[in-house]
Amino acid sequence: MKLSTYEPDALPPGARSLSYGVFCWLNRHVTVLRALGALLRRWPAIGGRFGLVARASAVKDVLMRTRSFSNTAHAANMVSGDYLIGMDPGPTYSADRDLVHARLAALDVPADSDVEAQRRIKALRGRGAAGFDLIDEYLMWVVFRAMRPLFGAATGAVVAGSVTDASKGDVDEDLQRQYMLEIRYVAGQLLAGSLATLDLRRRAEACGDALQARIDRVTGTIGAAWGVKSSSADIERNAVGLAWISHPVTVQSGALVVQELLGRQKVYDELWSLADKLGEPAVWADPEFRKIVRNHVLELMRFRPIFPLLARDVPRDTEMTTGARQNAGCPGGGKVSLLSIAALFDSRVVPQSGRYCPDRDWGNEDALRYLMFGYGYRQCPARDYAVEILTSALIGLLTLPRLQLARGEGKAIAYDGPLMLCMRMRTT
Amino acid sequence: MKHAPRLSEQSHDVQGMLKSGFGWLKSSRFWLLTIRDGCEDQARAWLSRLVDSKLVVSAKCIAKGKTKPEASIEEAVSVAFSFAGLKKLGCTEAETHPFPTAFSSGMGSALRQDLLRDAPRDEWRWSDVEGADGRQTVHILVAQWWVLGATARMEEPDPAVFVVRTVENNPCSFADKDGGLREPFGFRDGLAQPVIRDLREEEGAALRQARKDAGQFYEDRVVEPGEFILGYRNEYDELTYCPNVNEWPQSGDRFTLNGSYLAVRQIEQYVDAFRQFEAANDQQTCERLMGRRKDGMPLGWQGPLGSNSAADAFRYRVEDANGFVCPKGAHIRRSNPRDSLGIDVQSSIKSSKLHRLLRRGRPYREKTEAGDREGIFFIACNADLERQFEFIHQRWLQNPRFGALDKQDDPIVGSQPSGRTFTVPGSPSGSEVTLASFTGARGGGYFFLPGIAALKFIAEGRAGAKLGPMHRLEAAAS
Amino acid sequence: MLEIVRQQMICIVAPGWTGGAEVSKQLHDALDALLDDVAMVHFASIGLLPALAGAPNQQPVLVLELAVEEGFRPYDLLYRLVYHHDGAMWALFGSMVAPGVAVPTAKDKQQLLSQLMSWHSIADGGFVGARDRSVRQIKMESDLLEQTRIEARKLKPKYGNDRTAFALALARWAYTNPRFGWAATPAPRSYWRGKGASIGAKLAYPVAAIVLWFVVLGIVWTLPRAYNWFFGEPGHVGRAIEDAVTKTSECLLTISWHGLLAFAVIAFLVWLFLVPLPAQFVSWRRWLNSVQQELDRPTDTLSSLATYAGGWIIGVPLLLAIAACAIAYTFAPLAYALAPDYMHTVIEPKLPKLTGLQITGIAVVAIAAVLGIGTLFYWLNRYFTGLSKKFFHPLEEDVPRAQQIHPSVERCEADLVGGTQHMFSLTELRGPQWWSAWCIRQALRIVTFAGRVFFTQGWLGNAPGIHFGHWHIIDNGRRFLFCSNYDGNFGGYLDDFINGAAVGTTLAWRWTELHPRAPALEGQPGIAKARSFPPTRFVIFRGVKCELRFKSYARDSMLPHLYRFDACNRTVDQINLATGLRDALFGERNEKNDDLIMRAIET
Repeated sequence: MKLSTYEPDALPPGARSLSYGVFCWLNRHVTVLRALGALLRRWPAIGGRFGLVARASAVKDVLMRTRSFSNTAHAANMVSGDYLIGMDPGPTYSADRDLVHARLAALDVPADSDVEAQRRIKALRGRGAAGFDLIDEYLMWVVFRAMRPLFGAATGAVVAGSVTDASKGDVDEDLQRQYMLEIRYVAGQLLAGSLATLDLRRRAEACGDALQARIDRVTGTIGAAWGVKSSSADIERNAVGLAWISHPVTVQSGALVVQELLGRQKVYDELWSLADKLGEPAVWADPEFRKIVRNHVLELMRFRPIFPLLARDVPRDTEMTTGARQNAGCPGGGKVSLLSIAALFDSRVVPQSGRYCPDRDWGNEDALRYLMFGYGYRQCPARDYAVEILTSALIGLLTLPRLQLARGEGKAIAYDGPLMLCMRMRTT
Repeated sequence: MKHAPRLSEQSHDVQGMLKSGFGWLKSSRFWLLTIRDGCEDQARAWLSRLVDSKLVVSAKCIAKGKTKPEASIEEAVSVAFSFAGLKKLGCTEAETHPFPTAFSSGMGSALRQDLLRDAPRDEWRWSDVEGADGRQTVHILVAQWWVLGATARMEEPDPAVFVVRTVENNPCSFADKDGGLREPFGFRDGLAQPVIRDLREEEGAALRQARKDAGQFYEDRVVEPGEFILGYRNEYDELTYCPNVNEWPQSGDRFTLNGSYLAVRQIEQYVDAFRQFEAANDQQTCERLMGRRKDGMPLGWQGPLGSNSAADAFRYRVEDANGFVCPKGAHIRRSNPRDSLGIDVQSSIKSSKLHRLLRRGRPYREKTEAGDREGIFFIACNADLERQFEFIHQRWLQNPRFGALDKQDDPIVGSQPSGRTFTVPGSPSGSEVTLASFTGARGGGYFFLPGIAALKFIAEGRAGAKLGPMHRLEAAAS
Repeated sequence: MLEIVRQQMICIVAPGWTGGAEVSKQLHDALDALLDDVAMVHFASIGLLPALAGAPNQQPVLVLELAVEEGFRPYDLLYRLVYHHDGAMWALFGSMVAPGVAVPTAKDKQQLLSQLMSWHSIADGGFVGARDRSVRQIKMESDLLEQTRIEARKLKPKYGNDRTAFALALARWAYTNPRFGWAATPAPRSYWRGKGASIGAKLAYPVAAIVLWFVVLGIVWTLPRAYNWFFGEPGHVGRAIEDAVTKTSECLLTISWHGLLAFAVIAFLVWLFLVPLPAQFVSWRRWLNSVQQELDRPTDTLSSLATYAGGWIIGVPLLLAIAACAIAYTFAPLAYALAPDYMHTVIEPKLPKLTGLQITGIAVVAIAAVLGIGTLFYWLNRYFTGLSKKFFHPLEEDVPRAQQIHPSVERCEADLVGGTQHMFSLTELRGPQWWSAWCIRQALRIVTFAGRVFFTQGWLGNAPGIHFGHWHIIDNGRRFLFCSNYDGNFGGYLDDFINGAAVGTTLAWRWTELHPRAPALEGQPGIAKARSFPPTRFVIFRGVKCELRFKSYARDSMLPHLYRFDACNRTVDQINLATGLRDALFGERNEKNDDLIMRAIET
């Protein structure tokens, strides 16, 4: 277990809040990043000088060269301990990865997510003009229910934080909400990275401590639920990692997808009328409609990815192709940044990249479509499951009357740095 | 705008103990008296006879024999009272100027035991408050000094009136050829005494010589009188707090003016254990424990023996910052850190002057069936018990974390139960020696040493100075 | 920048405590377990304050003091404490939020959290001694120190006399020991202790601000010209705007310039009188010292009264005159801009026309005159010793009820004698309270700023041994709470402040006083007679130097604690030593590091 001993702010006062403010602003206004990406795609040599790559070919190249560009860049932001996402390939990595695959096989998606989405939509239907919070009252639960099999029988114990309470059956919803809040801050640190201000980092560390303590108490139960014979340290590491990576990231992606959709009225109208035409049970059962919605989800995620910037460590001196005539040098010990959002809009690979086209034929670049989940060997193993869950969630939203952001009482979307805390919506 | 009293004009009222240690009166005896119930008047009578006999010398008497006080004084007595003793003799503290909490709660209380970091007090035989059964509650402390070999003139207290315990002189304490005082472990004692400003005004040859011997460090020893005598300017540049007593008649000066507080402890020294330690380790280690050579010179002294003044004139910060000469945990470095504890030399000297003690104790010897028991009857005069005696005891001597040390209290008087060690810093790295327990306390208390007028007041009871002769006869007769 | 320091020290002031004067063993242990597990809290204590004088609810007020690691927002910290698995916070505060509920639901916890947020106050001013260290770091570094000492004892016979080899062996042992993998990175340091520690970095901020201001003004001034050059001459309205912009920016530029010049001259004069002249002229130095000593004298003497009177008669008018001149010089351009004719015809003839040489000559003569006066006083003092004895002899003084300690407070001190000491002090603000509150806040901001930026090594001024000292203005600006965790004992602690940080301490407390108050509960201290803070001279002198009055004041205001938590129980010196050892063992091998290791293992 990682012991978090804090690092104070070594920047002069004011510098960090300034840089963090700029970072958050950029994250929220993705079009600016896209413009920057367009510039860097046009003149990749400039990006190369600063260790930035924007072209799709270059980004793919870096992501494929896992030995030269290491994931350990993430390790510094993982306040809850080391995990797959920040490890270099090795025996631990392989063992953990196998475990993840085994756990993912237990997921029953889209059945679980459909059921939960239907249940929540029914509850929300009565709200009408009063409005609801997309994240707190819908997305969080859909994803939670869909990801239950990850911990299997031990989910109650994990959420309650102790073995005794778990035996009472399904855990109190408020406890579930508290658990989800805590892991959200831990995940947020991955998003904010080393630019986060000290108080955000300490909050994430406190929640990381709480998560570790929570898992520590129920390690035996988790081991039993998973049916593995690993040491308790391994179980803890995997349990902690699975807990905080899976749920919050999916929820945030979903919120971003809905935010993008609501910004495209024509597309929303089209989808909504399609759902309206199909009617209640057919909406969930029709595979064609589901495929259409899934394509839309992927396209929406392309326009508003959760990680527009990725970082990689450079363990030893090397070079990378940026698309310029000359390669860019990467000194050992440094970092490179990948503008994945720029790669997703690279017209050399994606024809008419600026247009919203869910039925686009990606040809043999189909893997690039999932760039927001990574690329190659280190791509997120739960990729398809996540997309399915979000599809169910979106279908559920489409069965409600037309929605819009509730701009009435103050801002509709509450931000906490780059994280969205809540997104209030109501029917028009 | 009245001026505060001047010490030079009040020296007739200050008990002589504060001016001199009576080094030429080589025999001593300390009386620990408890007044029996109902015998207060007889006690007062005895006290007034004592005062009338002129044995309680004042500071002025000592100054009279300018070059040779030895010539005029052959016996001296000092009288001090514990808080319980003052109450027993009819003095209640005034509400506007009560006695300090340290004095009124007494050294013997359980609270003080914790605050002073003392070992458990099962072996204590006397203290200044009501305590465990079998422990004598001392009301009056009488210190008596007289010439070696002569007979003492003081009227002994009547066992019918008092419960009497005496602490007898150790005849070997002045056995040195040079006449200096030696304590039972063999070290010269009584060297590093603070010099009270305004009380040693004679510009005699002795003073000039002392100044010359000490060189630029003479001023380190000179301390304002308020640090030891109540009512005068102290090192904070303000007048020391003088508590008052309800029955005291005079409206101007208060009861405790010209008085002082005594922190008294009867410390038994385990000479056998020390000899064993000395045999196992060499003499240099023993000297390092104490912080001084056995002949009294500081550890870094080169050349022939110097005077007392020269022996006290040194500092630590520059020449001995790391404790290579005098270890950081040594006894004298703990009890008087001189210039080593503050942020720079000036402020360190200034703050160490706030924690000085005037020591007037003498070694004692007690004859028991098992053999002789030796020790030191420790008396420290100070004006603020909490800041001086208790501070030194709690923060310096008994502090296992003194300076940069860890789990080591004073090697000589430390009260840690077992497994005591002592670090001797050295180059490249120091060493550690294991210690046994060398001392143990057998009793202790806080006493108030009144001025002569206050002493007379106590002796005469409520009547005070305004009584006519008629009333005094009546008081004596009852 | 100050917020981050102030957020480290939080007090939760909760009215309506019904739990009695003791904390049960069960609650004690539960709180210990909670605070240990959370590992963000350095010190925590609980005390009882008597209720405010006119409050309807006269039950005692519970105060929970928390000194935590750097960087936590109060909400996040309280969240972690309230939602911790054990529920100890509910056991403590639950009865004040929802009486009768033994096991809280999530709603109860939310209610408790919001109630605690309403009751909490971050420090108005505070000082952190051993900063930049988390609880875990202190514990792990102490462990490293312990283990190094044990290992050194084992290795001593082999390496006894060779410092380099000994240090190298210890460093190698530490590196290969898996227990100390965390120490491979150097100890963290915040900006002001690390890169910003040099005086250059500290000056960089104000200098950069001034330069930026001038640059901005310059740019604004050139804008109209640039516009004209680019676009050509504008029309009526345009010209009026341009005129206004040019005039304002010119005026502001000259005002700023004059202000800077005046400030520079005054700073130069202050430096001249306080640094080189005392160094050069002994009599001037002695006279300066005597003035300070006289103004600081706790017991009045004729000399101190005379100096005080002299200060009012000579010093204050002189300073006011200089200030007036500086202000007039700074704002002269404004006057010229607003009323040029008046300035030219009325004011200017009144001003003396002097060349620079004449001004310098007058200044030199004035300085010499001042030096002469100082020398005269010093000489008078030396030659009239008899008179000066009377002059310097203290006058009568009376401090009632000094050196009294309530037994409950003494008991708390005795219990903590082997660890880090603690004190609570509660006083009232002097009337008018809004003015006192404002003054205190400004003074505390200054103290906090100085502590954060300048006193980075754990000493506040010359006062050592403070872990966390903080002040709170509570009860809507009526009362003043001081909490401190420090090494040493009470008397020694205050002495260090009296001698080493007198000005700051005086400023923090001079606007308070003690009113009579009943004890919070049986056995707690109450105040029978009112006391006031010792009188000050010229705001910053005297004050805490009146040791008896100040200590009696502080002692009377003290309250005992019911519960105390100390995460690490290390003195500031030990913490610094452990961090130094970590850096030396895992740093580069040079003489300094080797010697530090040798010193550290000696004990």
